[in-house]
Amino acid sequence: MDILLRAIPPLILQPALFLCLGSVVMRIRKRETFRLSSAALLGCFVYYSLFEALCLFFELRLLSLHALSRCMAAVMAVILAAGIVCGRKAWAVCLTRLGEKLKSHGFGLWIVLAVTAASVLIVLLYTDASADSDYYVGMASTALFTNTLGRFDPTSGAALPVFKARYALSCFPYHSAVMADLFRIPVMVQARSVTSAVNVLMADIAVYRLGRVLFTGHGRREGKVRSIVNGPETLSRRAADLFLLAVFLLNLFSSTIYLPGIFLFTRSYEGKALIANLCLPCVFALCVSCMRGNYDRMLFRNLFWICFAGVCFSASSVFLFVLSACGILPVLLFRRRWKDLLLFFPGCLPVLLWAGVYYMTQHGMLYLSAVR
Amino acid sequence: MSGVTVSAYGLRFVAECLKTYLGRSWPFFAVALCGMLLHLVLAVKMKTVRAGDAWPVSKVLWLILICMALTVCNPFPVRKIVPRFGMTTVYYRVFWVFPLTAGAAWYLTLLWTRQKKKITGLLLFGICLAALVFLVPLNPGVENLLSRTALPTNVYKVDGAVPGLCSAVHEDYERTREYAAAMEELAGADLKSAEGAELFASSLPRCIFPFKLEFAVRQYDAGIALSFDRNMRLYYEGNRSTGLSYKGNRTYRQCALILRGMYGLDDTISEKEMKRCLKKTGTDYLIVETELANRLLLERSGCELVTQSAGYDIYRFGLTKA
Repeated sequence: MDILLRAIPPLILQPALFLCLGSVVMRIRKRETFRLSSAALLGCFVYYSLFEALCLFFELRLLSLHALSRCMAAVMAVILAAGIVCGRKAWAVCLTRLGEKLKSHGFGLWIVLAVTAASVLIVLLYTDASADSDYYVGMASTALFTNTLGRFDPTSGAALPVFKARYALSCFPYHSAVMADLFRIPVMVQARSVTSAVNVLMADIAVYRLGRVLFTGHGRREGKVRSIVNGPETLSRRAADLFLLAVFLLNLFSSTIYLPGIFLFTRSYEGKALIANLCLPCVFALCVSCMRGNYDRMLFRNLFWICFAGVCFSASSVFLFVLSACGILPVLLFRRRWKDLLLFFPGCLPVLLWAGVYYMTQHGMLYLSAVR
Repeated sequence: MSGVTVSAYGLRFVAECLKTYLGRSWPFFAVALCGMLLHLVLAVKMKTVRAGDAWPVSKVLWLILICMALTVCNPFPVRKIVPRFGMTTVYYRVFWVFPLTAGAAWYLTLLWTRQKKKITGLLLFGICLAALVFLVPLNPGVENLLSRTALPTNVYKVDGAVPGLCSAVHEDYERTREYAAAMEELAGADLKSAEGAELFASSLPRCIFPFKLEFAVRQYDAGIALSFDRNMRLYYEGNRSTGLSYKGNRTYRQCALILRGMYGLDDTISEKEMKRCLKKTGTDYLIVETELANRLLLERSGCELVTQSAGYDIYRFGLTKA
């Protein structure tokens, strides 16, 4: 019971950090309409990008996990303070309109709540001892026990002379170690319950936001617009609620171990689950946005943060580049948007850099020593 | 994907991977493809569809599908490139690029919401749900939850025996001379050096656990080292999903011999061989189910029964009590 109580603060803190950081970034950008879900989503990507940059520095410099934890504690405090300063006005506006917004969801609000609660409940209750959980949760528990980052094999405990690039460059598992270190809770509770719950919550937000993008202007030509409550915004919101339900149902009936749905419900503590259920839907939303002719600079900036966070999550982030190359690049080429084409590659830079470093380590051109 | 390799399937590799990837969830693909085709036919016939807000989504889906078919899912380059990058076992992740779930969900939502009467939409939703229930099996994880085989028994979400076994191993190990000597050596060591890291790793009690517990042990307690690493143990249990072979690996052969010996799976294993392998692999503790333990061989090989806990025997090898 004591452990469960201690697990509540990190469970609340993580989404709060995402919201605060997202609010700060949106305030800096100024041009965007503030939405709580968009801010939390953007904050999540920026937060993990920041964590990746910091953790990689600490890992490659052979610094200790405790040092990283202390550094992250300071970063978290700054994020919270900056978030409150920069976001309080926008939050207040959002809260005053909350009733109106919730009303516009109608019955859809109950669908969203039920789907989110069911998803969180599934990942909280599910347990397994698979080989992959051995590796990823083992990475966190080994880091915490040895007070090192990536220098011991998580599955056997043996010392590693060199970092395994495929795993060492994606620092997401160490986040659980950092949180467990800061809040003095067992790594397994943090990784398998707290992180899983937060991940599935963010994945649901991503699907909802994707729904909002897909159904923008939905019902405009349906002749249903009779009042403000029944306007296009309301209809797209309700369609997004149903879209979330449809995705949940399809995930519930994902019958093979390879489909994203199974990663979401059974391997939610892994970065791969976030690539398939958080990053890829967001990149798909960017592809649709680009096809509709919104080649704002913001699109490429968002792509950059998604790719950066993707690198933190897993080596499978390379598929983010594949999706962007399939869904955005041809549109830019066909429409001769040469300037935007120049922005596309910096947008995918984190993934391309990761791929370059990985290729060099695999071919002996780069040696990432894990010992002095 | 276990068993689906380029060498076995050649140009059919991509198709076979897709088939295995979808399994009995093929209706998702069918829904997405039907929606895309219908939208394409309507768009060719009617200008109003092309001007609609829904058409760009179908266009993106077509674009992604065509680009993938020409590049990452083109069987000709895939046959050459995938094995070179060692991606045979994880090639299925390429299919994540196509937003299958989102695509199918998008067309289903369109179907439900674009009806003039609400009741028609509700009826269609009911039909889709019934089709899902009857055509597609439940997510295996959710199915395990419903059948209560995956429900956690403790806050750590590990087998209930793991915490007790780990404590018993530590308790016994900390009373040995080897532990005291290792701690003394470790006191002044620099863990950032190769020697220091090796020293630290060798100061942990090295164990072999039953397969059921092996993968949970280091998640729960990283203070216990294992003789097998993950891929090696998977290979021993007949899982070839990693694509690695340990047939010629000496450490693997020694660990496999210990496992066969402790479970009595091979009568030809002598005490001498067992002892040699335990020494070579540096194994300190063997944890084995009480009813499956090959007691005679273990005791003759110099293993001492430390304790019995939660239906498991803990044997110690080569350590002396302080």
